[in-house]
Amino acid sequence: MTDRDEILNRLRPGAGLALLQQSEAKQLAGLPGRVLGGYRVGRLLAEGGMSHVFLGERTDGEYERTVAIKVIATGAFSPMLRDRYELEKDILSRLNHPNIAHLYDAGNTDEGWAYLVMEYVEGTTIDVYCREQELSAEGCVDLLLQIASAVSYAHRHLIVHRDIKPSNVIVTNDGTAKLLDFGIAKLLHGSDGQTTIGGIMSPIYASPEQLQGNPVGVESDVYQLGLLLLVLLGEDVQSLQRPVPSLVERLANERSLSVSPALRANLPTDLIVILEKALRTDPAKRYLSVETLISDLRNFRTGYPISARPPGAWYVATRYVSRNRAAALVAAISSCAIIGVSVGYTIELSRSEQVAASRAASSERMLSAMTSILNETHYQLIRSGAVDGEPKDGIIRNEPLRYVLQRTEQVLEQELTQEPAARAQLLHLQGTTNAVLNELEQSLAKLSEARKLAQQLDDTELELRILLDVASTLDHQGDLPGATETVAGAFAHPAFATADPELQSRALVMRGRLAVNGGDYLAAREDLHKAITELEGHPAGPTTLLADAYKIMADTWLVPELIEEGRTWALKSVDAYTRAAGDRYYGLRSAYSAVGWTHQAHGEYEEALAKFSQARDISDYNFGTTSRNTAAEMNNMAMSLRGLGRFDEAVEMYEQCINIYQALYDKPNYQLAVSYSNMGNANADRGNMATASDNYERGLELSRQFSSKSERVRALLHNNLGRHLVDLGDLEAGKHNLEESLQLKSARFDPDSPSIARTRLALAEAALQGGNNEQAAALTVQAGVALEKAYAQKPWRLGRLREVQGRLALADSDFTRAATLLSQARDMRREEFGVGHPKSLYPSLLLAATALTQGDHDSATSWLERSAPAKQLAATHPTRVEWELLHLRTLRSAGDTEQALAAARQLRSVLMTTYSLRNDWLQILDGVNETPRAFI
Amino acid sequence: MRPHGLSSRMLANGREDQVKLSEVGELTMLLRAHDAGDGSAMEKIYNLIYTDLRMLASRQIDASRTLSATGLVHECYLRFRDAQTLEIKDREHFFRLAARVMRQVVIDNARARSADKRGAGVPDLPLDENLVADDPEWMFLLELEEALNKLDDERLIAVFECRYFAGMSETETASALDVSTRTVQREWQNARKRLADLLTE
Repeated sequence: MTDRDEILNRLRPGAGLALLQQSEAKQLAGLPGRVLGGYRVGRLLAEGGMSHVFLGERTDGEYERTVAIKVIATGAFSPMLRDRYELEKDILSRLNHPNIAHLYDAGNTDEGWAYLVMEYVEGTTIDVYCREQELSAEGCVDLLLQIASAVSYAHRHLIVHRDIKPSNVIVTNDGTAKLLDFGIAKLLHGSDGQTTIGGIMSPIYASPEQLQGNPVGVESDVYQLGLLLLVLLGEDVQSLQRPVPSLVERLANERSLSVSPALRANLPTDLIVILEKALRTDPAKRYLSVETLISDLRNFRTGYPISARPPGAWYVATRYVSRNRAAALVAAISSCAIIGVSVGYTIELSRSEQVAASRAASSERMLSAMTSILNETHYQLIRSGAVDGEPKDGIIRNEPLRYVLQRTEQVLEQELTQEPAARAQLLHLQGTTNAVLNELEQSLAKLSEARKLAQQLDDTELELRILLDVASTLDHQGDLPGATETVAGAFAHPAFATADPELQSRALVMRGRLAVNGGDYLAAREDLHKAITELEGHPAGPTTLLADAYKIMADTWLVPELIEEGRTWALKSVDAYTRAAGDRYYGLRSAYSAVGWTHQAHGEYEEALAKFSQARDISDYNFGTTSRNTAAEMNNMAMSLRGLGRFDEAVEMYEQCINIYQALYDKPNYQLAVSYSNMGNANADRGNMATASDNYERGLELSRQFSSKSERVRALLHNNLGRHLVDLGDLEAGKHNLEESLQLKSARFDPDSPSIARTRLALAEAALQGGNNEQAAALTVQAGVALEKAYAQKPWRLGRLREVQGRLALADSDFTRAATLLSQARDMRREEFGVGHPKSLYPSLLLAATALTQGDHDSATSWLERSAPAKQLAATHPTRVEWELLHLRTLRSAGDTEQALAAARQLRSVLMTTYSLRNDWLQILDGVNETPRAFI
Repeated sequence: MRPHGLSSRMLANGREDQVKLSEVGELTMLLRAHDAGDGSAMEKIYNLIYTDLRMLASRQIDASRTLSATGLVHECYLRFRDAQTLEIKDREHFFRLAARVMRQVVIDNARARSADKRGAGVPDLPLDENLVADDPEWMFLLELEEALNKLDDERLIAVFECRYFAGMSETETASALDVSTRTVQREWQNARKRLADLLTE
């Protein structure tokens, strides 16, 4: 053979590559006998895909230690990575777990190859072990659980293995599985958490994200653990993964690996489900952490139901989440503080190590679970710009909150079976969401379970938060003492003093809210002031908690009707809610409502109606059109409609409210009672006195069937019924109810409050009707002082006071004074209610009566004509009856007997059916006592 | 070495929400830049796949693992995140480049080994007969490299790189170079002959 022939022979296909490979093999063969980092290299133990493992022993002879030295004969490290390498080495050498082969040292040979000095583990690789021992599926799972616990331990130390495969797991003679090469992949490939280009891992066992060069996190280890288990169970993984084009196709189409039909037939279904969940191509769809996988594998072993389930149809719904909705959604669940945290973590989560870094294992899982919820409901969709505008169908229309609740439940079921910390957090979230949706029993049940878990876990912060939410739910339920006691328990908790300031503020706001409900406005303001001072310092701008505090602060002024201060706070709360959580946040309902109340109190009924309507829209949006909150706002709107004289609409609206309440609750409650009472007012406005009576009675009857949320409600019910009874002439019953109301109000309100004054005024009206002028005068003076003070800036609110004062003057025959007062009353009423409103007409009638009593027939006729719109009212409306009676009297005084008799006949039938107890009216009708009883 | 440059550029563009790289991966972009005459693109591609091929080659020292040499380049190809989206033309381009990179890998190794032998070696490395015996191999490779550099026919060189250094089959080489199999056969034989001539001069 010539030189040339030999050269031609050498120039054969693939020979260049072969030379390279041979050279390295030979180089490695020269290693035994050399000393690496204090260890002498001994015989070759194994050749791996990329590395050679030698036996080694210490050279200093201080103590005997046999080690395994792994040499990775590849290109050298870049010097840039050296420092990083040292750091990683230190971290890895601190991993101490019975199922992890310990790393003693690492370094570089003079050739630039990396070497690792590791605990020498004698045994067989795990796949061989399983085969030789003929392990059952259960046995394989148990063995894998050892490895999984090692991986989980490492994840808590921020180390992802990245290269879990059979050859990296050795089972010793006593059946202990040891995972080799922890973090080596990263050690060799730098700090960025990616390990693909450079191809250190085995393609057969690489996770899809590794193959695709995507960021690698804990999910990759989940995948590889799943694949390892599959191998142990006897799957021919190589054939599953081949041929290469099909692997590429699978990845490109995000098709997940599935268990081969042959193996499938021999495995329990649950185990297949677990495997396939771990092996999903999309990392986000796998088990969120190794602990979850462990939990399911243990459940499988112990016969409990597993968490893995095929993905449900809910995902479709997320397509329809709009921007605003999403903002409201996040805000809605931000009452659960952990959500706020998890939003922040969403971006970070792609780097799973950072999550692992920030939290212990359980919280990491919880965060992951939470992040899934948030991701799926809004976050990704918004960021990708995939959704905008309105939902296309009714799936989550109006009910984003319910959607969150359902999702939380699903996550709870799917991902968390046993792990108590995450479970506690999710139960807490469910409980608070339940409460927002007014599902109070469920809320308490969830919160109570969450609290027990928190106590077991000794998580005092969580426990405190749960306590506050329990108090909130109890308060919603009307159990004020229970709520107050619960909050007191939170304040008394040993950990409270050192708790997070935000948590302390939350507690203050809650206690403030309860104080408002209990009528202690001063105490409430004190708590709220403290909380607001703390919360306003928040650098990120207003939070919903701050907005809550403003809102409750508004209540401390609005409930006792100190409107100006109330409006200031209410407007602040609207602003804060909007800035913190967007313009459709559910908390805005009560804020708008509060602003509406301030308009209502100012007699600005159009504005009030507009605000209440906004509040109703927020409620419709968040809670649905048949929710309790929507009904409450409709109640308010009806009230404004009454102010505007739109009585029919008002009654209709009350009817709708009542329908909603009746559908919502199987037991009577205060909202229903108040609605009936209010509908009574509207019906009385329409002159439907009998229906009104029924409504009032029904309201009060209902109020006796429930333990009232607050005595304020009863005060209102008694006041309304009392006034109605007085109108009907049932003075005894009327007075009784009014006194009852007065008593209830006095126990809650400031003695000077206008609310008390109004009830006093009603009592004065009753006394006037009963002819007890002295008592009426005394009551009017008392009420007058309070009202003049309260309404110094709003004199038009004094119309009713002037009316009563005018009637008193008339009764005293002080006609000049009566005329002055009643003129004032007329102006005030017209300003407050508008010209045609029955309440505006009434002073004119009183002026007519004054003129008539004086014998000024012309003036009387003139006033009667001016109040002619009263003739449009229903025949039974009190103002109509008053008008007719005055008309009758003018006819009589004009001597028109015939017409007077006809008018009297008509009136009699009305009075006999509706006002049979109105002795004052009946006396006028009968012509008795025309002059001495000069009032109407 | 990893496609991070692109990632950080995207961050600078404010698209921090996009965790994944864009559909058009770095490799594609580099290949196109190279086509468009960007001289530095080639260097970047080299860097990108050099380490990978190097490690893949080492891994195959284990004779029991019988991934073919083609599998080696193919596997390297698969590792790039955009490999699946690479257009056919770019894919051929890639294999062509990979073969060239493999040549570099092999020659670099030969240089390093012969440098060891020439005194930059390791103090406690015992004189090893294997290494001495290896010596002619390294020398052969370095001479081959010299001879290759003397060839002026690009297609000839390309065919040789694909076949000899990357171990690609005739069909694969034909596909990578967009020529017929017959051409590959002819050029391969030509290259061998001309190189043998040069090496026996």
